[in-house]
Amino acid sequence: MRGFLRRDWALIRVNLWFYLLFLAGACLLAVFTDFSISICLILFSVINVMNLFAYDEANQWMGYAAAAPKGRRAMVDARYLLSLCVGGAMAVLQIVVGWLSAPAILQAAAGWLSVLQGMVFGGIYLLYTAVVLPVFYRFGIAKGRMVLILVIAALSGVAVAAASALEDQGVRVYGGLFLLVLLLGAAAMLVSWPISRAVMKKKEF
Amino acid sequence: MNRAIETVGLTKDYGPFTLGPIDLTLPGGTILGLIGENGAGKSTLIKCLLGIVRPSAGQAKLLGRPAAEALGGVGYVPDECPFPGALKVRQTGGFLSGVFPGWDGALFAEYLKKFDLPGERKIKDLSRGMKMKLTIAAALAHRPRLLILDEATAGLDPVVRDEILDEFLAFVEDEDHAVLISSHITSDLEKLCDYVTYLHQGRITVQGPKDELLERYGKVACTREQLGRIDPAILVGRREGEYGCQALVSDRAALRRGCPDLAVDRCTLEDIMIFTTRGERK
Repeated sequence: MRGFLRRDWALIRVNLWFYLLFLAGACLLAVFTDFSISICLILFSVINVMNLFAYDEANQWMGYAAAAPKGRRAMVDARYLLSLCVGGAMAVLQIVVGWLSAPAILQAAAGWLSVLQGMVFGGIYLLYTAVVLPVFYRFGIAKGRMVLILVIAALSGVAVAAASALEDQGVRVYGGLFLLVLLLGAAAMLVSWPISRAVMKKKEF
Repeated sequence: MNRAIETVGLTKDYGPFTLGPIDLTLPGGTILGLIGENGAGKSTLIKCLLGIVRPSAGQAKLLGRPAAEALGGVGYVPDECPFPGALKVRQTGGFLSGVFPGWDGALFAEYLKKFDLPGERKIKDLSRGMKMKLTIAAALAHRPRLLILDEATAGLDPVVRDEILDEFLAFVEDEDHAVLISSHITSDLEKLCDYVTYLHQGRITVQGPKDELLERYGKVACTREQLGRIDPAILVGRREGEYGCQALVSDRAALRRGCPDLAVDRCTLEDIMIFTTRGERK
């Protein structure tokens, strides 16, 4: 797995300066204005992972890797680990920026609030990644994008319906609910990982 | 090593196209050339051997073990460089060391030097020949016992091809090593191979030791009347033109016995390929 992880990291490093500048700009905007950084971070994290699949396809890397010892399994494991690391780093950034952007008078409470924001960010990112990875492994990047639009639309529909149902029953949003999003994301990843492994085990290149 | 590759009844069914059943054996210390027209099934066979596609039936053993267990001892060179163009040449060694258990960084560096590959250059800036040399260096650097190459010399100039073929010859000097190479360039395979397998429409049409095949097969230039006298059992293919006919026979000695008035020449692998594929056309 180490080699696959190194390759993915080397590919991320190709555009690292651009990424860092982009993130720095977004963070500054979030700290000094009302700009919300969450969507920006989720997009950044997901696009990063999508780029890696684009590199895989452009070089027919998956077929080559499948001919390496335990290659199929290792490439999936590495991609999941890297996705978690990217998501983790972005969640930490979300927490720090959330805390820094809070008004001075609210600094004490802001710490807890930004942790909640980080949890929601982490949960949404994990949910999204848990869907993206097996879809891309199964369908490739071109078809995968189409399938993804359908899947995300369906998931969004379910989320909106669930939120509306909760609201109708008078349920308020508590900190526990933020934690639930994170746990749901983690559970989705735990389900998604063996699915991706199974897809890659059978896939022909 | 007795047998580097051994397949029994290996079949891959794609519906409109079926490869096999393929029975193939490659002894250690030898090179097997896989020839055939586009779409004959050469790449599919290689992918079946390496587990990149799943065979529909039959068995494949590499280095005496089931293919999946033997991949550590196999160096694979696909027809395109599989490394991202955005990375530098030396970076490939960095990540491949974690992909192949037997990776030898010093040997990789040695090959880069031998093949004149600049470590700091981005892969996208390399020529096709240099990319292919990089892929071969990567395949050799984890010290495989079996090299499998899929159209690795296609599109390369004769000088680079010759350099690469020399490398394969050096590789099989060790009796424990073997090479399977598929190519359209039959002249390369004539120089290089000990054994030849010719695939036509997914099936093995001709197979055997190269020298024996080239000794046994023969090409005849004759009239239509003379063509009619050739034993159909040894007639592989024929081409009839306005001014005469050409035929490929699978047994020169038998032809000499049956038609002593016909002059029979030695043939090339390309003749065998063309007459088998297009030999029935007039």
